Amino acid sequence: MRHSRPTLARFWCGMALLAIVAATFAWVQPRLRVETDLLDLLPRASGDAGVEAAIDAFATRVSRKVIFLVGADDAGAASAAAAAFAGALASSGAFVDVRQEMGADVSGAIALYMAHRGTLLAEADQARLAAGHGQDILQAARLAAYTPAGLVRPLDLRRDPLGLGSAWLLGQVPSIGRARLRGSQLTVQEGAKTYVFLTAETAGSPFGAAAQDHAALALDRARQAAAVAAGRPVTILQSGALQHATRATRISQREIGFFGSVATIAVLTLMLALFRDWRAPALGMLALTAGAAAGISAAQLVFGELHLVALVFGSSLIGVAIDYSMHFHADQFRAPATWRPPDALAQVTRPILYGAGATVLGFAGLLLLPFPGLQQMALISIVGLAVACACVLLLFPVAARSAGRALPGWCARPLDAFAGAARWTGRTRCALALAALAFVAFGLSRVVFQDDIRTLQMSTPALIGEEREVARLLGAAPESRFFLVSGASAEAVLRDAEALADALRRLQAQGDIESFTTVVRALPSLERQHAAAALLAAHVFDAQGLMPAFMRELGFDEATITAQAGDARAASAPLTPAEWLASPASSGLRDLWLGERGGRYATVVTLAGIRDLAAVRAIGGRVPGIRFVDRVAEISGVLAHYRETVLRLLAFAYATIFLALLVRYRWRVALRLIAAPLGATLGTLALLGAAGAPVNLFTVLGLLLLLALGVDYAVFLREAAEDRRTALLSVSLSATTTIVSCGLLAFSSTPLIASIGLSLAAGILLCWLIAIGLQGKA
Amino acid sequence: MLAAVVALCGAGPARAAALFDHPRTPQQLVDSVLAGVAGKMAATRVLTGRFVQHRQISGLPRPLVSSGDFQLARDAGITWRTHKPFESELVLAPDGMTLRSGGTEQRLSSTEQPALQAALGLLFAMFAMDLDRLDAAFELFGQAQDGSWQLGLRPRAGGLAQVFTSAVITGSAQVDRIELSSDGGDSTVIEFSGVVAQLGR
Repeated sequence: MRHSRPTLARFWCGMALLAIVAATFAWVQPRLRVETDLLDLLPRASGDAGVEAAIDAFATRVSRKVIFLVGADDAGAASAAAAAFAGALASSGAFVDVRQEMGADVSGAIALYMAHRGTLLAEADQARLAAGHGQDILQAARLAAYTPAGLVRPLDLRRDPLGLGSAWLLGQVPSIGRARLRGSQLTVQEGAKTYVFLTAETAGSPFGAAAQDHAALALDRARQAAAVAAGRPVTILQSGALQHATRATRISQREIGFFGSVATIAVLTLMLALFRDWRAPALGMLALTAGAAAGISAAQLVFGELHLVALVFGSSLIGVAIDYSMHFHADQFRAPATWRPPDALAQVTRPILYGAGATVLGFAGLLLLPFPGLQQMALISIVGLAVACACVLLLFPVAARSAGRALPGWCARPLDAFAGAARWTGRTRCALALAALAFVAFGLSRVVFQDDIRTLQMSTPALIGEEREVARLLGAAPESRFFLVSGASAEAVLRDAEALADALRRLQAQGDIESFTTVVRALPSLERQHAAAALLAAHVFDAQGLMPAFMRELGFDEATITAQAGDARAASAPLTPAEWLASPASSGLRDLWLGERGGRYATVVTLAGIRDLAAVRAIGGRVPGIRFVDRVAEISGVLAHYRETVLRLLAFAYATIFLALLVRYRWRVALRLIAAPLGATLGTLALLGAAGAPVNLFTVLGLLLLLALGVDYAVFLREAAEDRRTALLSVSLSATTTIVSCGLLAFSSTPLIASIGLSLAAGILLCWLIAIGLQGKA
Repeated sequence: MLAAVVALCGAGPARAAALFDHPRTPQQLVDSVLAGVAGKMAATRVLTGRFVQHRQISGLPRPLVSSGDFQLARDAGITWRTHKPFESELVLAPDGMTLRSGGTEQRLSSTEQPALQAALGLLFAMFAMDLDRLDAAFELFGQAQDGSWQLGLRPRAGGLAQVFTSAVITGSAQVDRIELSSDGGDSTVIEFSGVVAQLGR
């Protein structure tokens, strides 16, 4: 068949476009980074930028932290297994900061204490001296000198006669629930089994697919190393974001692949059966693939990464591309005997361009929002649709089968019957509309919004069980909630942190929390250090003080006593944050000190085993400079905020598209066109409300997609009204394929994908019904 | 008294050097070195007796000597009553220690101090001869000779719970003597006498 010059020219333009898309995607594909962290979708909370950045940095570290319990039925074997496990993790490169030894660096801690022994005092000793109970210290020292009580003191009698240093040093190892120091490892005993506690951090984000694979490999090797070292079965329990994120990525990738193939096969089979020609499904796939490749490439190039949700959303929308193919090919049923592919252009170009134009317009608005996830979705959709649309209009006239075929009888008969029956009278319409309105009103009144991020994060019962087991064994569930102490200076921060520690100690005594960890345990404020130094100088190191008196009592010679007391008095330069951070003694607590950001200093106080959240939260208000950070609640709040934003945006998009429709249509027609997606949106919300299914941000995103698709159906039905049967067929085909693919997504075990799928499948079904019911006379 | 201590110190190093040539696992110790007494030790529920403790501190011309009696209950802890040079009582239990002397009482809880808890645990393991616990923190050595035996302990890794560099436990039917040496040249020798074991269960 010969084609006109412009047709051919357009064809070659289309081919060039394909080549560009293919080349770009080939370049982008190996660089593709898929993120699964929900937080990545959301905009960063605004406010105190410096401190927020610090919290982000800390939360990132927390999300990277993985806790392991390495257990065996023999304590020695468990210890060896833990050491081998830690060694394998550390050498893998997938994990950093692998720790299985606690308080192991005694010499560093002793050196730091000795250099500042004139200004550092354990809390209990400081309280005794301040209360004038120095005799108690003396009494305990006497017992330590003459009984085995002295054998638990890490500093010897000569360096630390009163045991003040030993008390300080013993207080430095933080307690972790039920865990006990066994040698230098923290262990938990459960029946005959000993578990060794160890922690590590993933080298990359636990939500990145590459880091997850790397970590999984390292964990396999480490498990083997542990089993070999123990020479017996080893139980390894794991807790942290990594395992959940890894599982989520694997399952969702598998599901998208599976659902995607099922939907594709279904659509291709349908096209093959209908058009009885291999070229129709092949061209449909070509347009779809080109659109998806272009959209994904564009988003990756612009944003440097792609979020899983954006990928799913984008892919669903590009499913519209198959609709364009359907519209194009279905045109042949209008006049099968004389139809030539270029003829279709006259019929379908306008509806396709209008539909695509409206959709692109709707999504362009999303690009302006400071919401990374939405921007990605919008870009994928806009670029993908444009390319798919171009493929259909430029390539199909030349590439499609050159002659038309009649609509197969199995399809024509029910369609004719349906097309006839679907013509409702005004009265029926009125009654239906009233019934629908009543239902919508009822359903909408029952809509429940669910924004808790925990309901959107997917995991498996096995992993959650393992997480609980770790928490049970440790007797302290690691908390994602923490206190942030910030202030204008390091000293102000430390003082507030001390006030907070006092308050938390009271809660601990009441059993409201299991434990807490803070830097002031090792790095007291200058105020406290000055107070300690004054007490020490007056009551302990003074010539008449406790230390010389006790040393004299033991029988040390005067020269030694004078030298000791003098040295101790001299070691009264306060311990500064900088020196503490530089010392190996701070390794266990260093992470909690966030340092200075934008002129503000901050530190974090972590909690374990919160039993009375209200009591803990209440502290946040009482002590100045202190904020209780509940990321889960904050993120859920952000999700709620954006659910509302997207709902408003939806209204705005409807308004915009309505105005765009008014440019071409009279307002009554425009109203009828917009009624299909609008009615479907309200109907879907009402259905969810009536069914008691919660509505979340991702449901609302599904409704946004619905708008794009629904307008397309209505416009197509209107524009192709010349041949009602063909138009009805193409719209029905489009709706069927979308319902199949989204309906499958509704069964996803990733809640957010299921939400998008469910709202879209229900919405499209309604939209299709309404569009057909409302279409104008032929 | 002093002469005896000096003689002990003199005899110690040579025997200790030989002792530390014989590394053992807990099972080996039970099977060979402690073969005669391990069963009885494991069955002992309460142990009572008298002690004399000599503590040699570098820089002090004389050792600090104390004496008294003790009671070790496997489930509860150690009660250490010192009669000389002053009356005092020390209770070492897994959850902390209590000091009583001169009408005052001080309690040091270990629930919030893992390092103190570990140190107390090891001390208790040493007195109770809990070989599995000792094995976690120390390399074990042992030898037996003429009905008496010697157990050597050397810390495996650092840690705040480590307060001595080596320990030698000597005994025959019971533990007779514990000698601890630490880095700065300090040493503690505890000798037991009149030890009575109550077997239980």
